[in-house]
Amino acid sequence: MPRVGFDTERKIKLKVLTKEEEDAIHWASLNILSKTGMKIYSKAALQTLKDNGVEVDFSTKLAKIPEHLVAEGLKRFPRAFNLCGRVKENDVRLDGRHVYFSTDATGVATYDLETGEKRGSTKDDVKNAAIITDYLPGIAVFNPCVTPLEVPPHTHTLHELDAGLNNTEKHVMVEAVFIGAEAEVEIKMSSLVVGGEKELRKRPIISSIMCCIFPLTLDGGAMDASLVFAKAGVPVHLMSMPQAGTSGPATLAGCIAINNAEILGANTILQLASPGAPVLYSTVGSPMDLRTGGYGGGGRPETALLNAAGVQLSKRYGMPSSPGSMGSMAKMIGPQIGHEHTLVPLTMALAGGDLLNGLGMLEGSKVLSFEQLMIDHEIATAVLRLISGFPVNDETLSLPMINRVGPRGNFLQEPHTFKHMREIWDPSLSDLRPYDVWKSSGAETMEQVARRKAKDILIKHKPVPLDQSVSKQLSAIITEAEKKPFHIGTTENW
Amino acid sequence: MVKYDLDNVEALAKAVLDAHVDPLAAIRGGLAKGIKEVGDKYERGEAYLPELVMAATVMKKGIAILEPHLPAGTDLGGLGKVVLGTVEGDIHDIGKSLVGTILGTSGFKVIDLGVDVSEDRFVEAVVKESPEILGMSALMTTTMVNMPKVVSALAYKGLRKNIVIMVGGAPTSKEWAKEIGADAHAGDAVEASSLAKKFVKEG
Repeated sequence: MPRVGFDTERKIKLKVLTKEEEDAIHWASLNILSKTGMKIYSKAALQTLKDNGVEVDFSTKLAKIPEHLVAEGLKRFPRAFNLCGRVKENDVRLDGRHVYFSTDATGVATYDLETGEKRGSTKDDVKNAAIITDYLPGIAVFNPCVTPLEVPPHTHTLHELDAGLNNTEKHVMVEAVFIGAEAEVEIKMSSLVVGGEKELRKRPIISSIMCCIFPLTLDGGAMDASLVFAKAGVPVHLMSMPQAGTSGPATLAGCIAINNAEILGANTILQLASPGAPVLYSTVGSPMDLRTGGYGGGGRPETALLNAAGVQLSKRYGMPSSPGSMGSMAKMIGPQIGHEHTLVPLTMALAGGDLLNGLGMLEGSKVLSFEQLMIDHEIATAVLRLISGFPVNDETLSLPMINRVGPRGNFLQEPHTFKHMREIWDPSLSDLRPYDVWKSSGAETMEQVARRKAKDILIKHKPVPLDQSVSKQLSAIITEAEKKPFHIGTTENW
Repeated sequence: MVKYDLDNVEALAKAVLDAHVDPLAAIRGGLAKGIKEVGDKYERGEAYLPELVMAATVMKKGIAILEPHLPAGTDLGGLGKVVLGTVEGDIHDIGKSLVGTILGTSGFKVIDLGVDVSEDRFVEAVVKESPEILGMSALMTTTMVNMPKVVSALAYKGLRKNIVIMVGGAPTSKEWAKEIGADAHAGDAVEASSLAKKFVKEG
C-alpha cells in the first residue's frame, strides 16, 4: 500500500490567534503558574521542583512554578524527532511540516463487527484495530482504541501494548498509564522488540500520553509514569483537556491559558528531571455540555478553535503537537459524526498539528466502531489531500497541451492525464457512481461498505509478526505482572 | 429568583422581614417556587446548568437571611440525604461535584466526601450520616473496580439494604451497575437527580 499519510507536507495554513493574542495567552499562563501554581500529586515531581528552588508545599501538593524555570524547560526539548515504527519506513517525522493521523484510546465498548451489537471491549478488539491500522495507509500511529476489560485492571495498558506491538509495525501509543512501575514494564516490553533500552532511546517505538486533570492538577501516578518514560527517552504527549464552562472558564481565551499553563508546567518538570526529553503539545479541549453538565465530546466549532489555538502555541514554542481531532459524541454512524469528524481534523491539519488523533470512536472516544474507523480513515486521507494544495509550474499548468487540445477538446486520452491521474484523491468508501449503477450493484450504504472492507482487511491482511521468541517473552512479562498487582492510586506510599 | 438576581436577594429577604411577612411562607411561596420553576425549565432543556446553579446560590442566600426567623425545629421539607464521592485512586472531581450541585438544588442534603475516597471512608460516612442514597464516581477503568469493594463492605457491615447505591462516570454503565450489585447508573447529573427522586419517593 502507498503510505499517503507519511509524506504530506502542509501547504495551506491557518492561524486562529493574532501575534498579540498569542502573547497575551502566553503571559497569562506564566502568571497562573507563578501566582497560583499547580497541584501535583507526585512526590518525585514535587521533589524535582524543590531541588530547583521552587517553593513547594508537600502537604497541599501545591507548587508555584516561576517564569525562569518555565523558560528553561522551553529551551530543553527537541524541536523535531521521530515517533518510530517497528520498521523505518513507518517512522513519523514530527517537524512541524508534516501531518499524520492516529487512532484513539481507552474506550470501554466496541460495536461487534459480526453481530453489530455494542458490548464490553476485549483484547481481540485491540488486536483487530491494530491489524486494520497496520493496513490503512492514512493512519500513521496506533493508539489502542479500547481497553481489554477481561484482563486484571492493573494490566490493562500492558495488554493493550502487547496487542499493538504484535499486530502492527507502526508506532504504538500507550495511554492511561497510572503508575511508575507500569511504565517500567512497558519500557521493558518495547525494549525487547527493538533490542534493548539503548535502542529504544534511539528508536522510540512507543510514546505515552500524560493526561493532566483540568484545571491545573497533575495526577500522581501518571506523572510518576511520565518521569520514568522521559528518563528512558520515550516521548510523552502532554495532554490537557480544557472543558469550557466547568473545569475551565466558559470563554475560550481563559481555557486555553489554563491549558497552556498545564502543558508548560508539566514540561518544566520533565525537562528539569530529564533534560532533552521528547514531548508533544496535546490540546484536547471542548466546551462541556452546559445543558446537562456532561462531557460534550469534541466535535464543536469551539473544539476546533481551542485545539487550533493549542497547535499555534505549540509552534510558538517549537514543540511538536498531537491535538484532539476526532471526538464526536454521536451515538451512531451518520451525519453528526460525519460533519464533526471533518470540521475539527480539517481545522487541525490547516493549523499544522503534527499528529491528529481520535479515529474510529463514537460517544466521545468511548466506543470503538470498526466501520467508523474505516470512514474516519477516508476523511483523514481527504484532509491530507486538501492541505497539500497543488503545485503550479510548467508541467502542471500544461499550457502547450491546453492550447493544442483547444475548445471542445477532451483531455482523457492525453498522456499528461495518464501521468497525473493518480494524484487525484481516490475515495475508497464514498460512492461516486450514478444512482442506477449503484442500485443495481447492491445499493450499499457507506457504513455497509466500511463493514465489508473492514472484515475483508481482517481476513486478508497479515501484519509482519514479531519474532516468535520476543512475542513469547512479552506474554511472560504480562503473566508475571498479572501475579503482582501494583497498587493503583494517587496516594501511593505517602 | 427566576432572574438570577444575586445582588438583590438579600435586600428582598430583609424587606420581607421588615414587612412582617411569614418567613416560612416567603421560603415556600417565593424561593422554593422560584427554584422549582428554574428546575422545570432546566429539565425541559430550556435553562443551562449554570442558570440552575446560580438560582440555587440565590436561594441559599435568601434562606440564610430568613431561616433564623423561623420557629425552632421548622422542617424545610428536604428529600433526604446523599453521600457522594469519587472512589479511591481517582482524583476526578468535576462530574461528581456537578451531581452534588444538582441534587442539592433538587432538595437533597448532599454530603460530598471529595475525591480519592477509600472504602473505609465511604462506610464511615454511611454509618455517621445514614443517608438514603450513596453515590460513587470513577473516571478511569482502573479505578472503577474499587466500586464493588465499597458495595461489599457495606453488605458485610449489614448496611446495604437500607441504602440506594448509584454509580456514574465515563467508563461506567447500566450493565456495570448491575454487575457490581449497585442499584442504578446515571449517565449525567440530570439523570442522577431524577433517579434519586424516584428512589426516595418509592421508599
